[in-house]
Amino acid sequence: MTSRALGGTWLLAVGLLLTSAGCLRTSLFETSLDEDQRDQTRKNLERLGATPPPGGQLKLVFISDPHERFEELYSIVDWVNAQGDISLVLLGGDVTTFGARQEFVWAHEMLSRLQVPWFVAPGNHDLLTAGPDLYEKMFGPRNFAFDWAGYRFVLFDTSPLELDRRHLPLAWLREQLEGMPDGTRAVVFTHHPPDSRPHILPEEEPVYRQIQREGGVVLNLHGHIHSRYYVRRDGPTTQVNARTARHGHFVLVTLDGDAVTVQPCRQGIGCDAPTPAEPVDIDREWPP
Amino acid sequence: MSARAASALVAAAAALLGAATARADDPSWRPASASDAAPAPARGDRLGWYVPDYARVGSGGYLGAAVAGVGYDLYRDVINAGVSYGYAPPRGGAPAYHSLSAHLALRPLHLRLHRDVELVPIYVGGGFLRAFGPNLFVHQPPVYPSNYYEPNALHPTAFAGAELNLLTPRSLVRRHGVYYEATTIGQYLYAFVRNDDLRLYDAFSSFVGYRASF
Repeated sequence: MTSRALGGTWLLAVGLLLTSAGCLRTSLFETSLDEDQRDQTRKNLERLGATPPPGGQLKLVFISDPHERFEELYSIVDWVNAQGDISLVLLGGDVTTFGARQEFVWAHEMLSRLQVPWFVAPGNHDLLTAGPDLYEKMFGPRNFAFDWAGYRFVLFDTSPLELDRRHLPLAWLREQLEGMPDGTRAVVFTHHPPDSRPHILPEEEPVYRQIQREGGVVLNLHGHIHSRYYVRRDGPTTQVNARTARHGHFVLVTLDGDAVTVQPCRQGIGCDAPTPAEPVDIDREWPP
Repeated sequence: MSARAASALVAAAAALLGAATARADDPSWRPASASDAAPAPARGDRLGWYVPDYARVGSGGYLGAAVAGVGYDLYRDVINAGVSYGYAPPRGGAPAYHSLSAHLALRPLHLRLHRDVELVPIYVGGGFLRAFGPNLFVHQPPVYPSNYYEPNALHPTAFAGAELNLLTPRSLVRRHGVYYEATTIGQYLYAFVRNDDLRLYDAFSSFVGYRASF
């Protein structure tokens, strides 16, 4: 090969690299997103509005903590799409590990393949680095509520520490629950369980749980604890921890009025029988 | 990443290492296309060991909108080692960003395209990036239990690039180079390796710059 041909080939290769090998990213704080990557909460709310509420039972899937395991997340997305009777997918956050732009973009790439509406609550990892800004640009408000099929779904941010705050926005939560139309029940989906330290203060935990018990919350879905799946009954509220989607875990929930049925599932295996709710003694520390 | 892609990467790395060894060992090494009449690019510590062998400026690669650095070349420019500082101003809601980085690059191939033009068709390297800004830490805030978070201000980096040099051996700047690098951080590279569905170029950022060799 002549030197001129070699030089031409090289210039062509560099040109191709310049146009295809990622854009020029100047910092880890970059938050630029394409239009189709923005405002997912609003866009999915519009999809939900165009979806007729199911008659009778409502089936939803809850996923949490996929972190950087996008392939496992995609497998769960595939499973949901194959079922045909699931109305909604809720996520408990930690869709990233460092709260960096490309992680959000990859998570969106997987979730946008869902054929049913989906909503993401922020996890503590999602609020690191550029996460707070990216979350709001990609999804929307960190605390948000919407009504559908006789339920008020409350997306609740339980990660004040990453924003240099100490307290949960409990007044906001109480307001959402007090303002529900008659006969409406609430589903709260968050990242942390009520007893999660250090994010939820010991003195705030009983108040937080009381607000849910007295506010018509039939179901509180959360993740954060990767290694444990449980279903607990705290008065009228069923508390569910979903384990981590990093290892393919998720839960299938069936709502029928006040009745809540929870099945643990794993991608590649399927779902187990419904788990009976373990009662919680609210006068003792939980978990013991 | 498929096994086939991994094998190709390993083979490419081995070929680069072999070429680097050959170039460093053989002072007469020259690609077949090089002109014998051309002067060899001047190398060596003409200005003393305490003066860096090159200075560079650039933009991108998660290092900053404006990046400046210096470094040394070793073994007739086969190995480069350097440090850089980068800055990105606040933009679009993102806060100001500062970075310090160190890099080590393997540059085994230097091809003479013309009497005064040299091409480094590919080089590879890695290093570390220390980022500074709000919400970034090496030691997590004391409110968290120990080992709650890994540092999000410190990242290993990897890059591959190419450089085109204009040779001016009789002036203070002996080579003027423009270069392009595709740069990634460890977390993105890990995600790519871990997930077959991700595209490699999504894990990388472009970095373009100018380099003056003394």
